[in-house]
Amino acid sequence: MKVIKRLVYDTPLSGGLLLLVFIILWEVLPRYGIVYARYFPPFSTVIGALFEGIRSTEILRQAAISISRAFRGYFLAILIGVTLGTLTGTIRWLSDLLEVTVELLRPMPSVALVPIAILLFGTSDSYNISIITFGCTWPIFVNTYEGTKSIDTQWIDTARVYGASRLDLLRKVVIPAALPYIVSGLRISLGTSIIIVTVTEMLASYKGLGFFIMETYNAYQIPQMYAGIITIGIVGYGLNRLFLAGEDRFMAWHKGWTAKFI
Amino acid sequence: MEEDSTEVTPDKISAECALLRTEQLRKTYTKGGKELPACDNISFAVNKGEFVCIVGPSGCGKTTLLKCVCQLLKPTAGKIFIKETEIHSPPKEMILIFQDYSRSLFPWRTVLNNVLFVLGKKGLSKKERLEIARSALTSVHLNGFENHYPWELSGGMQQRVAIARGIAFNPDILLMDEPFASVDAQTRSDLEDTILEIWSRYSQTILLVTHDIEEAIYLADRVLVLSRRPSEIREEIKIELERPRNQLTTKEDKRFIEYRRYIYTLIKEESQKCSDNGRQ
Repeated sequence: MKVIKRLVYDTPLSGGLLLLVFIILWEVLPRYGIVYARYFPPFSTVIGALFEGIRSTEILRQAAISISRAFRGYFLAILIGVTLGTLTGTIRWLSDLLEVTVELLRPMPSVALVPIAILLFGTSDSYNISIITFGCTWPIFVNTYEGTKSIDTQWIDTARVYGASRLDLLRKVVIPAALPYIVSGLRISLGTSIIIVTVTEMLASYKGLGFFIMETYNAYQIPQMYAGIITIGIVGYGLNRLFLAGEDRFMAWHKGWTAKFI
Repeated sequence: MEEDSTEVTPDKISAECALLRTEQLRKTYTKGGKELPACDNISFAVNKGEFVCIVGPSGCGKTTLLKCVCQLLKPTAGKIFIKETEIHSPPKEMILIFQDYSRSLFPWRTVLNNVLFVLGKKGLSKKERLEIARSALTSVHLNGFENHYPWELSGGMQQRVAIARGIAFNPDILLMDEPFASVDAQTRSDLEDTILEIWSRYSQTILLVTHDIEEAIYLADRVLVLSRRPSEIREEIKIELERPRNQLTTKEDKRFIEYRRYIYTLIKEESQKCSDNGRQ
């Protein structure tokens, strides 16, 4: 235990240490025949396939298609989720009206809707996008609802004392005050959008990284298949990092404020 | 000569030209089918340029009263007039400054932007708005903190921001709900002096609610003493102490000590009644 502890804290790469061990095992185990190299090709072979895919732009094109689908579905979900969430959070009768329906729809796994979406849209982009939107709307909706509902009444009172109109109240008080909640919904949904785009492409698409992974799998191009999987991982990681960087920049007030009061 | 004749003291102002006037204000809460009165039969007037303090035993519904006066709460009965016009919604002539500054300043806005928030609707140019906001912050001694966030400041400084926001709006009358109750004693007396400075510089009219008898006497032209719940105005005391007031000399003045003794006795009687009632 002590040795591991010291390794973690004393090495400059501390966080990446486990990853390094994993990659070494990935390289060594197939080479020495400890795992079956046809199914688990060494890391270097997979990276070779990845670079080949990048060089021929094949993987880049597929990734661009997946990211574009994910984003379109995601932004549609933001539009719907924030609008509905704000309305239900601020209008009491609307939340009573929607509650039962929402609670029934929300636990439904979005990919269960794949057949319906194919019936409606065929295998066009609308098929992927509709399911991504369905899955991504809920976390945004629920968080926006909670955020706008639990807003401190004294902020509202303050704005009313200064004669704020209903629109100003919404734009300048309710939305900014609920933003920390909304942002955490956005973060959850961003990850969800990548998951759903992959699954829907694996099930019924002729383009995109999910399709690429299934196609190379069926063609027994195992290193290419791994390259596709790694690419999805990198895309998900990169998007999350970008999101966190944006959050650090625009939500700095919330970090400072909660550190002081909560 | 002319200056003399235009000079108005609260004495000379007749009741008709009161800036703010309430008539038999009553607020009751209903809880479990029972009516709980918070305040009843509250009638008073505040004249232009006057500094009026309301004191009362703790829990006597002071905050409720102020919220009713500025129509954040609907009074159960009674009327409120500003310049003899009855009001039914928060009027733009009147601003309420809350006790809890941390919950009334917007933490997502910087100090300057918190002040600018209230200037949007006034049809001013951006330059004018900035000028007003900056000078309001200067008058509460907060220059140099424009770009800080409220939560980066101490409690007393945050309340200064809230006050700056109030005076930037330039209301006819400033209502303050125990504005200095959440800060330490030293900061408190600094804030009291700041508010007196602002009051005289802008010829502001102020109605301030407090549970602190000394604070009320120190600040006010007139002190209204509330009774226990349901609170009524028990007595009105004119404070005849010279201005500008001074934390040391004013508070050592024989008359100050008389006022304090008198009001203290009144309030003591009220809270006594309250606990007698409780025993029955």
